[in-house]
Amino acid sequence: MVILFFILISASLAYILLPLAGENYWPFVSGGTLAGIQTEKKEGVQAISDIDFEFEMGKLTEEDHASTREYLKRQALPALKMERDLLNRMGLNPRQEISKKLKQDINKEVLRICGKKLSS
Amino acid sequence: MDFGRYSLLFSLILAIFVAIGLTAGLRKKDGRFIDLSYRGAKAIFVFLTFATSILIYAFITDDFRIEYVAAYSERSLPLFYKITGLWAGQKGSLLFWGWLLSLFTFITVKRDEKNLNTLFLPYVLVFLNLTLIFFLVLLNFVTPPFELAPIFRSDGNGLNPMLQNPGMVFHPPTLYLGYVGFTVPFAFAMAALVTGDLGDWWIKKTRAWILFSWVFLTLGIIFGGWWAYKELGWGGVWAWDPVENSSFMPWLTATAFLHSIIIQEKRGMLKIWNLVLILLTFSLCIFGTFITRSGIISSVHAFGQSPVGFVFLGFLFVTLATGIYLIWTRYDQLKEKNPRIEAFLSRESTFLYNNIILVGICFATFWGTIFPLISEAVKGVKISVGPPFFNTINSPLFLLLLLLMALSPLLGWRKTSPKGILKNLVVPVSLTTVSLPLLYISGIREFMPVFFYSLSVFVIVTLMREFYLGTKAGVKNHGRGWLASFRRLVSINRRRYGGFIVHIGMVFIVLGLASYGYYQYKEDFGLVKGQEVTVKNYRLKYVDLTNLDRWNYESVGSLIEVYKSGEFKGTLKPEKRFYKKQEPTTEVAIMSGISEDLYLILGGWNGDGSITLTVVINPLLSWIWTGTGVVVFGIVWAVLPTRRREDGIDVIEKEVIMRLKGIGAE
Amino acid sequence: MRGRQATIVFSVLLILLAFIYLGFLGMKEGSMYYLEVSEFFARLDDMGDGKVRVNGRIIPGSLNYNTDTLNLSFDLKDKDLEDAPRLNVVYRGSPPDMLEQEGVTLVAEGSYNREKGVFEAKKLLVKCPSKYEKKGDEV
Repeated sequence: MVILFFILISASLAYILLPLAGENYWPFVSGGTLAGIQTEKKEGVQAISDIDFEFEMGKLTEEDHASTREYLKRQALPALKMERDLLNRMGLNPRQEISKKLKQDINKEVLRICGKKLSS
Repeated sequence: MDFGRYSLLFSLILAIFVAIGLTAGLRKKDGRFIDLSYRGAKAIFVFLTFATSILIYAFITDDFRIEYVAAYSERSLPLFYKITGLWAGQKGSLLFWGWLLSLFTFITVKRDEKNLNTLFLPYVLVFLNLTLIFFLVLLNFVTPPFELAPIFRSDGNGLNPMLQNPGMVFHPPTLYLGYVGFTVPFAFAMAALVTGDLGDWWIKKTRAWILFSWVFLTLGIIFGGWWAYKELGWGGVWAWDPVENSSFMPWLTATAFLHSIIIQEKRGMLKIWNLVLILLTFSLCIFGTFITRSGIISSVHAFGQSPVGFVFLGFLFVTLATGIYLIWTRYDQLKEKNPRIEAFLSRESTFLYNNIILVGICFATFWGTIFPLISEAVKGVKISVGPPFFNTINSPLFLLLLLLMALSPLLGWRKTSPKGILKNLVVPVSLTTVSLPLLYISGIREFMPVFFYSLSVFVIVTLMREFYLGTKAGVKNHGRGWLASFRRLVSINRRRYGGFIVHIGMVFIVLGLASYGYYQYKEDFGLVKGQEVTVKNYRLKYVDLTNLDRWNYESVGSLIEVYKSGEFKGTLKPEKRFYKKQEPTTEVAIMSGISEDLYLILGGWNGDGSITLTVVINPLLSWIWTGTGVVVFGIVWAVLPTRRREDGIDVIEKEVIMRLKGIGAE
Repeated sequence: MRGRQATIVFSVLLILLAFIYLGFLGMKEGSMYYLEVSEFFARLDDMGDGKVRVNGRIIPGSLNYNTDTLNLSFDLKDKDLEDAPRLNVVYRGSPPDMLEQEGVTLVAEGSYNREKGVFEAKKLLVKCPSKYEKKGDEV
């Protein structure tokens, strides 16, 4: 039992310290990614769809609905524009299935274009 | 058993490793150290699981060498209570707490370790790990659960009979799940402050955690009330006792938080406020532990007094100071681009009032709870604050909350024209008005109860109307069938309709609490064998006094036949139990129904077989339990994955693109 | 826009004022002295006839319960003092659990009847020191 526990501790120590054997690296990227932009776009569009739903239910007058919609459209624009620019640049169709390799390339492109964070 | 102790010690060493790894990794920008701390965090979970299993194993195998096992178990205790003995006392509770925290840390790391998009996880881990270190220091040096008993024992003390009840078995773990759960959003909020990335990403990431913790906190509080109702034998579920209040306060701020994050997500407002609320919620969880464990405020729920409480107080100060400092350093950044609420009549304004009122109730509860301390410090005499204080101040505030629950769905975001609201109000208001004479007939005539009941009707009607209107819109605009339209409505707008379901459950709970609060009936009787009494529409016949001898207790019970409106309903048997190793307890007998609970307490008996019987009638009390079920269902509904409205989305996307082109042409 | 902001600020202030008012009202109704038996006697003269909470230990042997009239009577004294003044408490209703246990402390809520010299309790809260956590080494 004692030996087993000792092995368990040694094994976990080895597991934890393993990364130190490798080279120094910094995996974090500090820009947006395609996925990030797409999420932002989705949320923007979803917000408009929510407003439409409220209007359908009679919660908003026509005037309120129109003005709010206009505001939300303006909010959703940048992400949409960014996504289209990106995909055009890579010669892709927005509906196309994107492979993992391609995704990485796109993300590099995102970094190159904006070089800063998109959201917040 | 030694392995338990060693596991705890090794976990602490690992946690320190993690802390060093994070500091080194973030300072030097070295991913190897970050990886090291992720691995360390996962290993801590493994070792704490090991330690917890060892303690449970010790309970199962009656290992009374361990003091804690001897204090809370005995050979003849049922296996179920042996296992739950883990959280019967303070030391085991803290171990369980630490284990949960390590589990949640493990899940957090596992979920996002591959996400290299932004640098947040290491900072989140910093705060989770610091909290974990606090618990590990306690477990290793202040309240060691594996401490040996000073003398040899062949059997343990046994578990207090009052704790041998399903309510008490589930009350602590659900409460802890809630408390510990809030550590995760707290850590994310602090990470957002440290990194300066103050968007709503941390809210989106922790939304599931927040709902999860909230629902468990709710369950924990309700289980506590349920236990008090069944075991304490005074006929109620809530008494504004300091120990109860200490779990209610974080619930209030958490509820406020739950609402105000919606505003931040939808409108980008209240950024600072949300950070303050999550800081408050986490701090109040710690504060609650301090109150219950230090025994500083006299409570009927007298836990053993121990120095652990003050260690928690220290931790509370450190947490608050860190949180306030971090918010202060980012204050200017948070102030920027903070849109204002544009209209008095808008959904966001109702959320704002909801927040003010919830925090108000929290403040009042806090004030009443700590007032004995304040008065003793200032005037030199303890002045205790009883239920009348809490009821006077909180009841009107709860009424306002009900009102907001009804108004909020009627209003749209940003602004709503008064005309639209009036149109929406016609049906609910008229239906509520119809309910008033009905209330009068059923004897509800006092000012406050009338408000509670009629506003409850108002809320239910507006919420039902929401379901109806949404379904109708689907039928009218898209030509779907009613059932299909309804199903689509509730499964596509899960958050919205899940939230409404939770509100319906809350109304049930409020109705249950208000009914028993305002209309509880209580009377004492002295009865001889064969005697009958009439209480309201019940006729109770005292038949016989029985003696029972069980393996760990003897009991005296009185058989009472219950007739309601002349019809025989069954026999109830309120008891007094005399445990061989513990204090005697009163076992109440409850006949629970939709409209009311009949609650009998055996007060005492004489040699000639006469008894004293306390009869309590609690109207609508079971609605509290039903409502809780509805609340849980609503939350589960809200967190289930959403099927997106893909079809409509495409159209809208095209529309926005058209606009994009329009701008390009300008 | 300014006007609407003002409406919101105004309504928030209104809620706050109502809150403070209710707070005062509640404190008047709900707060009462929480005293040890000896403190209670010391303050008896300058205290009104309002509700008080008195904390003390039941003197063994003083407990008396009449099952016909449901009248409960016992004497309380300070926890730690030996020659402490005694307070006679009366209560009508079922006695709470654990009342007869050795060393039980109790909070009686009610008011003092000066003519009879007894404390008429409306509520009894038993505090058992060993309810959740064991103290000492009882085997």
